[in-house]
Amino acid sequence: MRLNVSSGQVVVPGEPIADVSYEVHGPCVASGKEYRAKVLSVVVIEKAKQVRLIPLKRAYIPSEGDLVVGKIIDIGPTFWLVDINSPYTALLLASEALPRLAPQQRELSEVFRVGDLIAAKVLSFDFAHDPLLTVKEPKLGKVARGLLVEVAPARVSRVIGKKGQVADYLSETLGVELIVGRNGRVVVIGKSPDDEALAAYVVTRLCEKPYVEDPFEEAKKLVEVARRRWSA
Amino acid sequence: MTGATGVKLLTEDGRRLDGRALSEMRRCRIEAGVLKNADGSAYIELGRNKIIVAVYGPKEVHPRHEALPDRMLLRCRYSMLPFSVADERKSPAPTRREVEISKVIREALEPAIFLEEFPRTSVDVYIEVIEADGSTRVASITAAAVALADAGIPMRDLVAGVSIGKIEGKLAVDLSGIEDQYGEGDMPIAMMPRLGEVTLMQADGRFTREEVAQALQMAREAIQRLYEEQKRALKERYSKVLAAELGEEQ
Repeated sequence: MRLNVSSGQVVVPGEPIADVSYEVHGPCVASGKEYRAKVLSVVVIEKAKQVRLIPLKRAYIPSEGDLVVGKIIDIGPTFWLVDINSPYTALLLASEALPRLAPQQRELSEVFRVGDLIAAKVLSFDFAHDPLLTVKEPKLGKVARGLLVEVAPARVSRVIGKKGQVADYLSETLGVELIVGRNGRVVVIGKSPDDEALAAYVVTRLCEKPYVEDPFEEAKKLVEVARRRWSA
Repeated sequence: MTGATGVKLLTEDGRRLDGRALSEMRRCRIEAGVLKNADGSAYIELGRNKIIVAVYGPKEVHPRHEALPDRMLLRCRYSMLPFSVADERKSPAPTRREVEISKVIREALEPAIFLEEFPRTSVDVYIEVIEADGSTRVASITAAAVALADAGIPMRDLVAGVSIGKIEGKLAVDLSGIEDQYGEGDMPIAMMPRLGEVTLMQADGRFTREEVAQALQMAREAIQRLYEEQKRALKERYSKVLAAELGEEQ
């Protein structure tokens, strides 16, 4: 029954968190009778006996079902190569975007060209193979307009919030459509460039701090701040 | 009495040239996250040494054929700037010494990193010695570990290093440039401070069995102090922001 940390504390790799009678979520290793932090993180004590470690920095590692915003970087014979802001470059197979089998390469570039931005979902990923994407669902595919905001992948989850609460709130009050890629790329699509700039400002500010306790409240505050600035 | 090289490195009252006691380290200051463009970075001042470390990764491996199927590729480059040394300007081309030090630093850091976490990726560590005054390889390791942690690389523990030398027949902690040059021996040691495992141990000069055991003990103590400074650097970088944040919520 030993807890070595307190809420809001920063832990370095190798630092003991608590003994194994605690439940520790986040990047840690059990070594002997205790949990140790694996990466530089912030500690949040959620309940008695339950601790969460929130990494302060993290590269985006694809996970099945993630919505990502990718950039087409190359066209292969039957696939597009997509940069998803991750150490692993993704593949979008032609069969995921074109109806017919074995399409010509020329046809591929008629759908997505190098430099295009796409919203896609991760179909599958294991570390032995490159991640595969799909655009076969509604709202996926080429992002034709909008403003791209790049934020840290470790912090993008606060733009989404619990059950998409923050993203819904932002798009409703600011009158924009939000595509929040888990890979740290957020696209804001609004009716006017002003709307987009305001939303982009809020998203950027929301991801500035290393840790935010209540993203929903923080988002509300930032919208206030942004509105005042824009009206002035 | 003077050492084998005939240069006097200790005063009559047993102090070293810079006034330190034999077991005393130079002043050490570490700062984490000093560079904006790198994924992680650190700056260390150990006495007159000034070293900056930048870490990039995990990222895709270039050239691609160097990627390892089952683990992350760690690459280190230790390099001294032309104006880093006291005597003549150092040629900017990598010397044999720098190539070797790059390799031993990589091998000293590797055991601390969970390399299997991100297969087929690489982490690049660039170490630039701005000013050198002895023990740069261990100071580089100390700073590189901080930079790796700052980059969010999963690690078992940090790594810190110190050199133990022999001057006028006595063991001394943390050799300066002069002591390294004219002393009778130099033994750089790096360890994972919490796990207590040695990840680097080299030596030139002659040491008896007893001296090696004693050197390890001296290194262990110095490394614990360096570890405190490493932790302080990493925590301070974020704690200030977090303290303000949590205070605001209440």
